[in-house]
Amino acid sequence: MHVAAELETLRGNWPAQRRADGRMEQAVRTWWAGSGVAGLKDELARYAEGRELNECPGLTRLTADGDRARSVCAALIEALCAALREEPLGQVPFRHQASEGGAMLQISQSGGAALTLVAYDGLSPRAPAEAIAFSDSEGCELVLAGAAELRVADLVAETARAARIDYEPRHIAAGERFDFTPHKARIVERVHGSLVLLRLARTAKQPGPSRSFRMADGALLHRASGDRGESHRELAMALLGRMRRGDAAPLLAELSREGSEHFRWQALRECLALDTAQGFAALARIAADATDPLGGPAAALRAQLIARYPQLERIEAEPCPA
Amino acid sequence: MSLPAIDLASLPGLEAGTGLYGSQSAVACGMDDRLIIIMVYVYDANIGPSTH
Repeated sequence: MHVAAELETLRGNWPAQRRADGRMEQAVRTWWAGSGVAGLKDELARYAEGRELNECPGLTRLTADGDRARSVCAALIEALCAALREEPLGQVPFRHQASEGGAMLQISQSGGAALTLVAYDGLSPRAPAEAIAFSDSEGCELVLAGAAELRVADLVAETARAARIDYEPRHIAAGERFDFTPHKARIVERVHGSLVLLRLARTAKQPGPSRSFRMADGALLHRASGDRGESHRELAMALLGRMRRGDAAPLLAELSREGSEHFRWQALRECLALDTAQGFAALARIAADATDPLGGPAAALRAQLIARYPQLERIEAEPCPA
Repeated sequence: MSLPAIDLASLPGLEAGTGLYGSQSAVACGMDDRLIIIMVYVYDANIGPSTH
């Protein structure tokens, strides 16, 4: 891996690193204290808690008035550029992501709500989109600069394996806004020069999974958890399983009672693989509950395991070791 | 009572499989409006699991 000489030098120079970070953070602090943004963090927190957008006057104005939003965001970018001129190796203290054709910078986040700058580069070749994704979130995107051709997708009906989606083209330009919901999404098909959006979004309190569908026929291509915390816990469970931490089995049995069906099932699988007795007891409990949505799959797995290991049937007749 | 050890890979997933937060299908890969959060797990044998 090539590491530039300047970075190599910076690596060993803690005071210089702290100075660069401090300068960047100061630029952001100064911007937050400036006009047009004071109070936005509090409003974003209220929006995350479920208030309507029109109950958050600062956010409402910011996402409705292109000139205002442009001047507020320009002030931020100018402040960051000024800081970077002084500290060229400073880290912009925002969560960010860059890939070919676009970049995003998360300006502020509170709970499930976030204010993000999104940029699309019209010069990079864009492959025609083949899939459209819907996530359990809502919000709006205000065009700060540039123009683009969108394809707006409406999720009309959905089954476990496919969806009916209506599409319509839309031209969007500076000052215009696109509002999205869990059933309305968009694809940027063509960017004229570049496109910069200010995006305000919030996810549901208990977000359902996001789904990707093939645009050609609406077939479900992929489903992903919409709950970051739950995926975090799922990874932690998998880690405990790979570490063979048998002492985690009671916790996994407990986790198989709460959360999404997918998460509960993963907890059950990990529990069974770590501790057969405790896992099977948890499985049998779920299988016996006719009101549990996992009752069917649990009963099928229970029967399958008993067929393979007949001695498991005796566990149910004995007191639970947990 | 001697109980068998059950291999995780032998236990089926649910019919409606769900990937982790931020995961995408190969077809859907590319720039879209989701910010991907990367989760890193650091395990220290002395102090137990922790996350960052």
